[in-house]
Amino acid sequence: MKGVFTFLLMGTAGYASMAFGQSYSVFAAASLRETVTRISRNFEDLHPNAKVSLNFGGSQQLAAQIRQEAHADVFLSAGFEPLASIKSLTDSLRVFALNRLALVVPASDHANHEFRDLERFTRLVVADKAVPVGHYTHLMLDKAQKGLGSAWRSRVERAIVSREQDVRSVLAKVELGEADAGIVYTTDVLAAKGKVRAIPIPAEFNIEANYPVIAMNGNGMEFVNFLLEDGSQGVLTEAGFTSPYSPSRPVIVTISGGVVQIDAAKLRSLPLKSFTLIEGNVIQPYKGFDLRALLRSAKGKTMLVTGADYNHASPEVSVALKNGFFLVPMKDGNLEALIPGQPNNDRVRWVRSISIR
Amino acid sequence: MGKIVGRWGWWLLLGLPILAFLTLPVIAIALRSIGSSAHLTPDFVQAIRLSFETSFLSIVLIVLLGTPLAFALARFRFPLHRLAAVLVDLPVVLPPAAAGIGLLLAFGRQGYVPTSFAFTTTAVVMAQTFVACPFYLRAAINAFKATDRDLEESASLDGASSIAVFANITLPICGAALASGAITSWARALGEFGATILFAGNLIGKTQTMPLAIYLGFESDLDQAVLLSGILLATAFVAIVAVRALADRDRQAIT
Repeated sequence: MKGVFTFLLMGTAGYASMAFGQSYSVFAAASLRETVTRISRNFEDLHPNAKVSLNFGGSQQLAAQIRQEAHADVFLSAGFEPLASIKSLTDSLRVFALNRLALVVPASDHANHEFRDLERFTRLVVADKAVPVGHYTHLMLDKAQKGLGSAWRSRVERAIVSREQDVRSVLAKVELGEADAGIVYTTDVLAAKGKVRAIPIPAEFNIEANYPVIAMNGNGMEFVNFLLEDGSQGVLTEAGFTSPYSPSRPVIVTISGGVVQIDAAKLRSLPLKSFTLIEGNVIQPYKGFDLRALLRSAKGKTMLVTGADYNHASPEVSVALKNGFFLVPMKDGNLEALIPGQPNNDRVRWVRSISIR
Repeated sequence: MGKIVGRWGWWLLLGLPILAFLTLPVIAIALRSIGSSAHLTPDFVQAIRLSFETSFLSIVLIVLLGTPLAFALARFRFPLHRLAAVLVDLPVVLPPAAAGIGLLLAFGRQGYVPTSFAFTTTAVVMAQTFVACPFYLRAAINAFKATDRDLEESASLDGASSIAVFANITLPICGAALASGAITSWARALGEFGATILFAGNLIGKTQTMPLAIYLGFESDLDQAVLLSGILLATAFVAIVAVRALADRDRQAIT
């Protein structure tokens, strides 16, 4: 009896010491398997004491595990829906990658398919609507139905022989040649290493999938920040994801309901001003576009500045007018909003929209 | 009474933790599904119907095709007998997901025996048969081995054909044991998940059985998943009670 207790005590002690090491429990959507594995290795290389444990699965399934109190520090989902009713750090939500859908056929199929031929496959495999890729597939087919007709749509629905529990199961069925075609993410085509062939989905039907991440605690936030760094973004774009921070996406300024689009040319017409900010004890010089002229004509009271990663700040217009409000060009061609005197969140990177209400 | 506790109480005490461990999840499902106000949606009703249809079909196939094999394995030595006996037991310990991959690689369109069964209700029955068959075979082999050979031999000396001996002598003697094997096997088929989702896929009304609906319901509709688990639990409970009752009757018949 005494022996048993000693054994049990030793067991718990072992777990306790493990918990003291820096461990990061990362839950990630199935479509992120290769990329997030690589990013986690990079993270461990940079933090020698860190141990990242990875859990991949359908986003909805991972969300269910977290709601049932599985321990996760950070959750990388393939869509917003699974994040509902998960408790996370306030304002930790970021969008770190974008993806699109692809129609794939086995590599052995050399026929000349087009997207509209989807109705002619006899064994079409998609993902269940409960998981993000299945949800996007549904939205995509809704869009396509408007162009190709409801008869086309019902023939497609009849061709579906299985609704799989995650995107990689769909891919596997196509790789094995068991399915004639499947709908997966663009990035899965690369992950299949030549075993499947992609047939382009017309841009007007395709869906842009957002990959949001949330952190449950400080450790998780560390990982989120690492995910947004250039190195990690490079890993993602190499695998076929689009970085949300692509400079080609415009900055939109909404002033009192009307939308004023600011593009590169318009920005150049604004005054580029030198200014300084006190960061800690250091005075940092900056060069940025002063937006106060635009703000003065605004009728609203509060502004909402949103970045491509969904980080946002909402300063009062009067405060911004007093302390300054600048858009500073970033190295990658994006813009960063600097809002001096805004507590906690005085900068929004990759600015995508500014609206004033 | 005090003496009994004194002599056996320690064993029970040592056994209690594992008994509690085995019982609590069952109680949790039972309590949650009894207290549940959820009504089964049509999708889940279809899953229940499909599950019962396919598992009955599977057990009919298992009994029809399995009984001759079990009899052969129990009665005769033949080349590769030992290997056959091992192979027959293998699906019990093989992870069902591996069984599903095996079925795909063997009977998929690109398989060694190419068929177009994948993603059909036939595939569901195949997956269930593959995974559940050993439970019946094991029970049948043991029952046949335990049968008194003298009875069979004296009947055949009287001129009865081998089939007549089997039908009139062996089968009545082994009936209860075969039935309890079949019930266990059926319950296993009803609960089959891993091989099914890989080989048959998941389509409501066609291949989505109860365990698949529970798995996907866990993500989207927990109440329904719990209710469905409760139904499976109740079925399994009845099945095991039936198996035990059959075993008791068998024992009384022998003594």
